Amino acid sequence: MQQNFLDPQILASISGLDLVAKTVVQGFVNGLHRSPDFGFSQEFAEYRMYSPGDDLRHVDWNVYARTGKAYLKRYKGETNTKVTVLLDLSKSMSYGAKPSKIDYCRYLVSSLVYLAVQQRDAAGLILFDDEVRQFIPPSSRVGQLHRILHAVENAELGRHTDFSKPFEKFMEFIRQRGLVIVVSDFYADPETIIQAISPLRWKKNEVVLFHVLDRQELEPTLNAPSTMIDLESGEGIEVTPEYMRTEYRTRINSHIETLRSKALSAGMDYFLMPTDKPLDAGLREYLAARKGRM
Amino acid sequence: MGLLSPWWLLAGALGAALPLWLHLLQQHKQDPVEFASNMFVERRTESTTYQRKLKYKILMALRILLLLLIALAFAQPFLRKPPAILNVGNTLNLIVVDNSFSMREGNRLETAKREANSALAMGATAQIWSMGSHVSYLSQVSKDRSELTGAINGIGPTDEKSSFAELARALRDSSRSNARPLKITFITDAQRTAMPPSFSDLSLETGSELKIIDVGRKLPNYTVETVNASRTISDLTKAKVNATVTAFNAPAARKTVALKVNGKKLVSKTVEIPENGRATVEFTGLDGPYGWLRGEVEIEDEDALKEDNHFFFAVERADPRKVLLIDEQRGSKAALYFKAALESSAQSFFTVEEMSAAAAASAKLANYAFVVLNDPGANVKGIEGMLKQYVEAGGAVWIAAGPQTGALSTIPVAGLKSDGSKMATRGAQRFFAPANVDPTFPSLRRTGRLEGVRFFQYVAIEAPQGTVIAAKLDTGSPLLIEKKMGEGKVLIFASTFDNVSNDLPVKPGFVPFVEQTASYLGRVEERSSSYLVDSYLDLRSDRKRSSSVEVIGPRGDRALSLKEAASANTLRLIEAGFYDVRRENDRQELVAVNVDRRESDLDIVSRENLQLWEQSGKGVAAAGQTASVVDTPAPEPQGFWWWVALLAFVTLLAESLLSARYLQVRA
Repeated sequence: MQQNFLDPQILASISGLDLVAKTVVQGFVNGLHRSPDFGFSQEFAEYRMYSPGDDLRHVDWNVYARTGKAYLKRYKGETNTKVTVLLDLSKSMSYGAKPSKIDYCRYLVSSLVYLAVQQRDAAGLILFDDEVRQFIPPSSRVGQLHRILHAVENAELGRHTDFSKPFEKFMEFIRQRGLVIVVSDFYADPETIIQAISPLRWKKNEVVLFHVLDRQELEPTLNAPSTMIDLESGEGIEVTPEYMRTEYRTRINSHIETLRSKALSAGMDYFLMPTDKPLDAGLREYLAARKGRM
Repeated sequence: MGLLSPWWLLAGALGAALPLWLHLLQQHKQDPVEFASNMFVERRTESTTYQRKLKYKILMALRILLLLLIALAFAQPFLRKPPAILNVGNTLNLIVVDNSFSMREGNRLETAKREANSALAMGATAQIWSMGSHVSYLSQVSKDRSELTGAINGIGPTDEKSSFAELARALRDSSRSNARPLKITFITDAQRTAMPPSFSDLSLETGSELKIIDVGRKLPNYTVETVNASRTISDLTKAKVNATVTAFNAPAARKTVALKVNGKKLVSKTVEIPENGRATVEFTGLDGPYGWLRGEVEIEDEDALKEDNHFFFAVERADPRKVLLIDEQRGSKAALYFKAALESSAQSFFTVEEMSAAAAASAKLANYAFVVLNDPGANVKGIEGMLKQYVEAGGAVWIAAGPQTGALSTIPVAGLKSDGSKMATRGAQRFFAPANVDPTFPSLRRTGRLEGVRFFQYVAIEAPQGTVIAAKLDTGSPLLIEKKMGEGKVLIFASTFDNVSNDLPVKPGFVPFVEQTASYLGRVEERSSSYLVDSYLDLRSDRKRSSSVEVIGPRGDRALSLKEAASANTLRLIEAGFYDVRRENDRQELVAVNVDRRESDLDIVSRENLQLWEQSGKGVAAAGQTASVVDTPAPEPQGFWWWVALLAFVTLLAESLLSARYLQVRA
């Protein structure tokens, strides 16, 4: 029953991304069953010597009274990270129905951000197509969640995807290491994608690629010879059902595998997210990546 | 091929572009599907696509074809079928043999038949004709040589007169109806008298090939050209027979001419015939029994064509025929004038028998040539039925309407309405004069239009439609009216025969008037003593009335079938000789028939004229003068739009079935 709320088709009937995110995350958390590896708490983690510049609010004054030395008390929950979500707004993301790829991505991003905020992580957002359309720097301040959700909800689709140009700018924005989640349909040469994204990895960032595709993109079905109109270029190509049933599937699977292997080789996590797949898988991947990052 | 409305085809061609455009448009726009990216899509047109395209192309072709066919049907296409006569293949060989009377000379006909057999090509399609005054088809169109040879050998001589114009007309008709060129071989004696007055009558259809084989030759010939004799004679000793003997292309000669009656030679005379001239022989006195006599005038000497050396004529020997005069005022001047006039003529064949109406009731009217009613009054009512029956059976009644007749409301027997007796006053109108007299009417032929005759009294008679008014008075009232009743007739004279009602009896025209009327009513001069072959004999005077007529031909056989005997109105006389005609009411008649004497002229047509005729069918350029009078048949347009419409209908069905199938597949 809880799982049903993570079904994308059901989520499509819920209005408001905050509510969607809350529904997804709460359902997801309740299903964790007290996993020893996951969860949040204010559990003490360590003491660290005060160094100039540290926030005095975190000084354990009791220890200071007893020992005369200033120590900062640190909790597990405060071992936060910066989570930056990069969402592809290319025209091809509009493909699909109930939900479309972009809607699915909105749910996914909202849920991830919501979860990150719950984890007290600093969450940020970058919307891009062939340019960076919007950048919300990672922050854990109050209201960050709503800023991000508002930006996601009002995001408008652009034109083509060009990974090289936006990611050059990411390097400028992302100065601290953290977790970078790239959500896209990755319609580009895998080599080019990895080349564009891998510099993030050099900055000690954990990079997770969420490859969002509609089921029709993976397993297209055609009843009659048709002209396939490319949503980004508008170009039409006449194809037969036979081709889409066989050769196309081979080619897209090959593309997925290539991207996966190259991403893993580059130290990135790759996760294929068909739009009919429940969102908890994505959240699980996030938490796994966050744990690796800790 | 041509088009009567070519603009329709242009419109159709433009319309045919519509399905072409629609199909091409549909081809480019069909089944567009939006897809995220064509990064992994390659153009593929597999065999199924080809098949589908092919199907649509067939559909498109059907639609274009349908529009074009409809447009073509509206354009009314036609084929310029060349005239059948211009078709070279499948030639019909016509062998025409002249078997007219002149072919009896020597062995002309045998020679002609030999030539005809020689002209029969092996394996060729041919037909055999014979030609006299009419063309006879002696065989079917056939390749069977035995059939064709049999037809040729069966040709016999006839008494007909040859007519090249008639043959040319039949050949033209055959060319048009046979739809094939004709190759004509005409074997004839090329008699000059067979040529029509105008050479254009001989023209043939273009493409007809005529070859004339001339088996004739110019020969001298003598013939009895005409015989004049009275048709009915009571006293044979007074009978006169005048014969004309003619020399055709012959020198002066002395010929013996004999008169025969019923095959018995009565007398012969020698006559000097000038070169290419005529001589007359007169025989006086005949001999024979009562009834019809078979007369014949014959040249006893042999010549080129002996069959024309005798001339037939028919004479009826009979006692003078009685005329019944029914007159209540016995001894009146009317009867006196009438009898005097009728019996005074030298050629008179009638005697008048006068009796009252009451006495006439017991008389056998059939014994009388005709009946005269002088001023009939109410007293003839008792015999009116009998008189009507007599008239309808072929008899004749002559009514002289006087004051007593004027007192009746209708004229007896005829049933015409009477407006009463009219008298000329002593004032301004002292008498009535004849007006509108028809001089061709038999009674009035020699009466001088009744000029000077004054009528003081007449009966005003209403002449309905169907009656003949031969003369009128100046008042417009009919004076002489004829009404046919059944086989007979009633003649009404609107005045009397005495010199009270008019002064006609004392005028010179009275005797001819009575005599001519008596001959007319008594049917004495109605027929000639001889006819020509190919003339027509009237068998019935009332064509609506069915009565049996029997005709025995010259050979003693019946000339009419049973059906013809009951209904035929005329008989074509095809043989020379005597025809015995037996009509209703035991009336018998002998008709003598002779060959047209133009056949006796054995002069022939010049070879140049024959060659000119042969050229007339070989095209306009060769025809020369023929081209000016005969139109070359133009190619006849033969429309075939209904076939195009039928094809369009079939195409429509195919298109409907095919498109329904495709729609089903797509659904």
